[in-house]
Amino acid sequence: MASLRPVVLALLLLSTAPLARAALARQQAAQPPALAIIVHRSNPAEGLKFSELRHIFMLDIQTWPNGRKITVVLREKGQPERAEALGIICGLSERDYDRHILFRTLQGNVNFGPRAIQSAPAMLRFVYNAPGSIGYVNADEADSSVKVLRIDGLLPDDPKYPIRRQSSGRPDPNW
Amino acid sequence: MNPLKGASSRRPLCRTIAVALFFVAFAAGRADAQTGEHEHEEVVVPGTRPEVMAHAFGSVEWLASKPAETPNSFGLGQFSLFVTSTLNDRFSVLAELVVEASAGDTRVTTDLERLQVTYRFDDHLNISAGRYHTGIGYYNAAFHHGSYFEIPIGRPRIFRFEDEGGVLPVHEVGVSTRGTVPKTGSALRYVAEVGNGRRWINPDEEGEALDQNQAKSTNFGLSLQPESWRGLSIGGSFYRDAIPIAPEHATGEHIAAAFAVYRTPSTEIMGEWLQLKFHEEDGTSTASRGGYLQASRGFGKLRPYYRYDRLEIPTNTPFIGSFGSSEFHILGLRIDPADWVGIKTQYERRHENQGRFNVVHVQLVFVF
Repeated sequence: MASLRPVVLALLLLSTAPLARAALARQQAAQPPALAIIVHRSNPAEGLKFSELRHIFMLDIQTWPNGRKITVVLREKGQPERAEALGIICGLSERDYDRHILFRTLQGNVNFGPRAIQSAPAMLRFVYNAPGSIGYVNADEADSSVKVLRIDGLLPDDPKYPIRRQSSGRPDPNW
Repeated sequence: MNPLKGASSRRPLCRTIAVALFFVAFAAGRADAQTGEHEHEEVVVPGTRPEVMAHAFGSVEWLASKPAETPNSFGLGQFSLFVTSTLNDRFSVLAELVVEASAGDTRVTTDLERLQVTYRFDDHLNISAGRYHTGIGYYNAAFHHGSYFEIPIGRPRIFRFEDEGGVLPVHEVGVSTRGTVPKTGSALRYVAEVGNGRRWINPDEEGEALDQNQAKSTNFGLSLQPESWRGLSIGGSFYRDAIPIAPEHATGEHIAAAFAVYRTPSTEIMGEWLQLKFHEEDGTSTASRGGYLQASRGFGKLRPYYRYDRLEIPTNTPFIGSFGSSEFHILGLRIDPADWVGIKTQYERRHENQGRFNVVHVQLVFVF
């Protein structure tokens, strides 16, 4: 009987492994889809604080630490991916974001607003070609042509990653 | 406003050409309606070719007062053409040209309000040369000629433009630097300016861009925008200049400003206080003080607002003593019926040199 004990244990483990995998998959499926913040592969930045990301999208910060000008890339007006990203990152509606950018432009602090891109593949292509750019795609759409930044030290596959499409999506009521 | 309109009005041909060129640039430079966004299916690497963005701000007004010194009247406000262009990753140009109706007919005056070329080292250092709005306090360098972004109708009394009885050097020609202070996470910002100063003597003579003495005006300001309280900005500035009153004689001008501003899309609370001091060579000085406090809160498309506006000018103050003191209470409602269009209606209780009187003012503002 003693010689059978390892076999029984192995069978038990094998039988419970699919259950464990399913539980993990269920946990991941319960997480709202993450938005990956992407930059050019040559960008030395590996990550940003969430507050820095917001300042970049609000055009308060316009240069990378290496001195290169930042180009913010958004999805086109009217696309849900744009409104959601602006709500999550900036806490603003599309209209309020547009007003903010024009106000900053009038003050002479912004020379050119964010770029607008029609689709996720086009976003990847733009960021791949423009070294100073920063954009976003759904985490499962990011590929090796771009670098995915850590936000507050976390990558999109981390359950605590802060930029998730349905986690907020709407403007911060306190802002 | 150009305080020296007379000089430019003697060159109508040049002005016409300048306006025509501006309109051409405006028409050619239209990007997205408001934010300058370009659609990029074809990838164009930013900074590799000049890009132009253009906007226009306009307004139409109606005003009535009681006791009625003048009949109630419709009028055109400023029409501001605003163009920015990135020449490359570092250099950019900004120009703001204001066209104003000078009478009930179609005669207009034009003023080149801002023309700046800027070199951007990074977020910590931006150097601009040209004609700019001085960074005195908050309001002047925040709202410029974009009446659309102002909640009440008109600027606070102390920030009025020079050719509307303004008391401050609102515009200057010179060099301006601004940026964020390193290691403060964009929270602390500065502005430092060196310019010709305002021309108080013979302002309409030729050569508006030239200084009348060796002394240059200087202005330095700091503002704090704490990350933990988004929308809040607290700061101050100090301006000084020497105004020539006769050969080898000058009057010192010192302007101290302090402000606290809280602006979010839904709420605006702003307060500023300034002291304007003129120092004579015999050691005497006169001080004028003014400021405003205003608040508004948006409820959907409706936004009620209130402004208290005060300016005290002793009558013996050089240059501005005759302008007179004033005190305004303004209560109004702004409605934004559509994107980039606003209608403001306000009641003003004014106390000026000619006594107390009431004003009803309506303004339609738009951007395109």
